[in-house]
Amino acid sequence: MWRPGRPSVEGNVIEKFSTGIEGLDQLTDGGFLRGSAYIIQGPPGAGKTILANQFCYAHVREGGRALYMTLLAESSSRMLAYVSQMGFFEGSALPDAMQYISGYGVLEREGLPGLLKLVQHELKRHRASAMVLDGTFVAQSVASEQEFRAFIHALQGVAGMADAVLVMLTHQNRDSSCPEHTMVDGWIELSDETNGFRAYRTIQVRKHRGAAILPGKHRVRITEDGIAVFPRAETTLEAIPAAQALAHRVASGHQGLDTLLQGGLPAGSATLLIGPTGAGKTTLGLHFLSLSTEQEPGLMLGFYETPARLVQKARSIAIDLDTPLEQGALEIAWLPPAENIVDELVRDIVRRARARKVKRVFVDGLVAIRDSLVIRDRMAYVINALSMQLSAIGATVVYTSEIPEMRLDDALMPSDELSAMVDNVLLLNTGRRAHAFRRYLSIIKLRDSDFDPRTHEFHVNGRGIAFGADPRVNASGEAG
Amino acid sequence: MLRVLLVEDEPDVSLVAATVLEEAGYHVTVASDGHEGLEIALQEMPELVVTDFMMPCLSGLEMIERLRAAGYDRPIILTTAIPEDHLPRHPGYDAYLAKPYGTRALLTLVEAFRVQLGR
Repeated sequence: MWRPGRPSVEGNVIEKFSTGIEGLDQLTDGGFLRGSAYIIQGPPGAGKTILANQFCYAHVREGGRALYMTLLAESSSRMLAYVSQMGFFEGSALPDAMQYISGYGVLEREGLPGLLKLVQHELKRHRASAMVLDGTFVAQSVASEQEFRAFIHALQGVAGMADAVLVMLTHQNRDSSCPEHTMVDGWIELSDETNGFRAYRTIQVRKHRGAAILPGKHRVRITEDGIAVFPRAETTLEAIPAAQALAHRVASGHQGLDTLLQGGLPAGSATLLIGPTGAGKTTLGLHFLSLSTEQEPGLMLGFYETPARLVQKARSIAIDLDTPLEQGALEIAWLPPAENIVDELVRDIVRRARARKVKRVFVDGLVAIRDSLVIRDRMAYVINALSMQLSAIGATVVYTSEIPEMRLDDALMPSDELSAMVDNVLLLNTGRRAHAFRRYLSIIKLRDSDFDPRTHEFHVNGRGIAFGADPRVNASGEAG
Repeated sequence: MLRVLLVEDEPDVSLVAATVLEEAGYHVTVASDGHEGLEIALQEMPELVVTDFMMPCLSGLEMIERLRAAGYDRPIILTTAIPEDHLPRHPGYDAYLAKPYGTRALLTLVEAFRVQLGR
């Protein structure tokens, strides 16, 4: 039922109750501390009620007892009817381990002292180890600031005495200097935000006494399964074990390229294939994946081409993805390039890779990841975090990213952002020279390694990528 | 006029249900928790009790149990958002009304008991 939390000064361990939301447990270093009081604040519709209910049912599933007291005039049975449709709802918890009651009448008749007595009495009556007080702002509206402060202080004492977690929900947008925020043990803020036409939800742990938190805002998704919280990928890096230093090379899937790379891609490294559309980036990625085996499983995440289309494309140029797919050595995942939550995507890629001990990862289309980010400045941090997490499990990663066509004599130096994102950069460029469309490959950067610095022309034929000019055109561009 | 005791901790439900029943010609007394409901029921002996389940101080089922133990033998309607199959067996109530309920459903049920009681 409990998981070990931080040790207290005396060496005791304070129990933590899971919030029932994996990502929120990560943000709060394991969940709510027993005997503590928390405020969850956010505008109507931000997900407070769902979060609180999800916590209660998770708590009950772990063997605890929960009580949901509303101070709102609205019927909690309507709320319960809605909650009962959600994946976390557990009908068998009612009415024994989980109960809903209203404190509105008592608050109206007897004010804050009556409500305090009621909370105390009901915690005892239900033997609840978790309690939600929904609509705390109503309590504030019937009292002075001083009375409300005393009430919050007393509530915290009641939670401590009952050894229960007390979660107070409020939609008021009160700032950090408000007394209730200084008094409670934790303060979590849910928000609805917009960026242009996009609307998105966030969560921020503003305070969690005595526990390390993942600071800042993190994305939230509400589905029929409840609330999901996705910690920003770059804030979870501390949890990554140091990657083993891998000295060996990993075949790129193309012998000629391996020669230019002096043996292949450094194992555990991240490579960015950049170039304009049609330059052959995806084709090179498919070469890389075609070497997926049971010993070296592969994973692809694509955004623009469906798995069926990719396999067809590979077949048309004699790149064999069918064999690794049939052997279960290759998984192709596909997501439409819509408004994805990038941190969810990073989490899922890493999970999939970890589950199958993947050694080859190909992510086709960093543009789709960048476009999903609300704050695009995060791009380098996110990709760096993803690469580090994949590297930690021994995977070598290849990304593609589209850039406009460049003139061949344009200097391309890895920018600071590119350097931060990946270990290796390969430019696949296109150009029209002597009346023909041509493709060129240059290695821009290779981690701690020497490499062939020349630009090499290549073409794509029935067997994939081949170095040299397309034999169908001669040097002058006329049909050969 | 049939006397109905309405035991309900949610103020909006209580207000709407009491108004509808009064408009339909019933004499309604309201209690806001099981404890208050028990006191009023034993004191006034209404012909019908409509009670919520999950309430502060004393739940609807606890109240029903004490009422039956005290000899109250008139019909009791239990209203709750808890599915009926999750409720204890032989709980002492005569009818179940799932919450949230519509006023028509409440009136139909109360009316059926009025007819049964011959009032």
